[in-house]
Amino acid sequence: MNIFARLNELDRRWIFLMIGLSVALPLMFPFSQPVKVSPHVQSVYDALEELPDGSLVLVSFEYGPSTMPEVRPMAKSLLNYLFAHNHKIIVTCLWPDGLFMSREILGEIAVDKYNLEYGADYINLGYKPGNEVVINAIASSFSVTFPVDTRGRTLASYPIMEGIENLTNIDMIFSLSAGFPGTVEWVQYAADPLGIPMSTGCTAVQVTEVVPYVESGQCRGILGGLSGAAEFEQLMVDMGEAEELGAANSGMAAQGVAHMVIVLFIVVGNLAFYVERRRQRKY
Amino acid sequence: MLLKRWIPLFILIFVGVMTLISWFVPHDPIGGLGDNFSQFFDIIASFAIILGAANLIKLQGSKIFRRKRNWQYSIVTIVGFIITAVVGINWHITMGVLPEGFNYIAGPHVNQATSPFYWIWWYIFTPLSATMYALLAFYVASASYRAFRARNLEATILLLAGIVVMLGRVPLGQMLTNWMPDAIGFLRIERVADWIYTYPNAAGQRAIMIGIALGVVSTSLRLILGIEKSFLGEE
Repeated sequence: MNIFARLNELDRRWIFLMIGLSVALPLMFPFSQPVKVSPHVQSVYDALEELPDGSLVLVSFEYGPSTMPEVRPMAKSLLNYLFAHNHKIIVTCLWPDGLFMSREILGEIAVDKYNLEYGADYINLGYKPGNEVVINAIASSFSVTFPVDTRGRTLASYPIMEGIENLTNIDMIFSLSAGFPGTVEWVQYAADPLGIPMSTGCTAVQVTEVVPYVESGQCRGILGGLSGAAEFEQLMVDMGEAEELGAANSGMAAQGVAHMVIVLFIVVGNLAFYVERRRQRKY
Repeated sequence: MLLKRWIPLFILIFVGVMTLISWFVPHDPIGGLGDNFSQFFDIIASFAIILGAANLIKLQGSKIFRRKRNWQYSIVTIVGFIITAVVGINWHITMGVLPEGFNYIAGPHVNQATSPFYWIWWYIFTPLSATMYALLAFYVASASYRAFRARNLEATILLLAGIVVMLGRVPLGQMLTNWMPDAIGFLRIERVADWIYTYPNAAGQRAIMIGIALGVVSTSLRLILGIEKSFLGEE
């Protein structure tokens, strides 16, 4: 059996080993790479910059543990930016997992880092089942849809909710999304019909379905996957909003090498396929 | 016949027509009806968890009793489900007297990092969920090697687009074309990847979305007009 025939029959465990090493080694021995900021990420930053200090931003958590490595770094950068600019934040979760994700990161950023007051600077309304219908419902009323927050108190008892009736009182929506319901539903049921500026950070696989909304201007930019998060971190450092790069940039080395290895496998696989096909036709 | 056919059909037609009208007539009582229906949906959606739980017990229980293939895993599923449910629900009920100003407590399983429910979520569910997702990388690589073949023109275009996007999204890939002068900077791999996202991809996605939207409109109309009756179990 020649080398190309053997490559065609390559045991998949070799592929698993190569992928394992290509992810593990860069994580153990990280190296820095220059990160270029794409126009979509720049648009997100521009949209945030247009908000006057002290604006009210709704941040929706629609991701879970499986997509945490991709979305959490952008959530961290975003919350850092929003709190540093004295924006008030209302958190909602369309995914049950989002409640845990939001609690964990708010604890790290709002409580530990900025020592902010719950109910005055930010509030977590928690999870509500119903997917896009929840968005539709808060377009009419927050207090009817969420009679209480995650601490069990009525929304009217918090200063942050004073005079806030529904989504039309929000200055910007930011969806941290990993699927359905998520960014697309926020555009369709809130941002577009109500004319509220919106932006998003989502997983890489979602980028293709969100890009049409970005190109039409219904969504102001997009942070796509780990690379989008890394670009946002880089932009934060470049603009003096952050002192150091975060977890997304650390992960880019592993993702970069893994992508290269997968491309290499595809090229080698095609080369073997092409040579074998020619040989079979010849004989 | 009345209960199984006409009443569900009447509810569907009434709710469908009123929700539709409420988009065009925002004034009460019609405008408020649309909001109320949204609330009804939330309440009904919450009950879906009961159906889901019952279905899980039924399916997994059946596997155990009939000793179907890998029935042992079903025991783990049911035990895990019961422990998580009991820990979460029990801690909720035994909260005791509510503090002043509180009319409802979501439960320590959500609000206290020391609760067993919280521990189960962070230290069992989270790593398991992350592990399952991480395994995808291995299978994607293996599947790409075997199935991503340039067998014809369409497959070759797809293959090239995939490679460009994969390389264009990571700094290591971008380094491959960093040497290009600004005069031909539009050929740099990240620019080509952005172009693929922005034009061919957006065009294809829009076509799919418009198709889905038309399908949703026609199906909704069929339901509201009483033509589509498959939800009643009819042909």
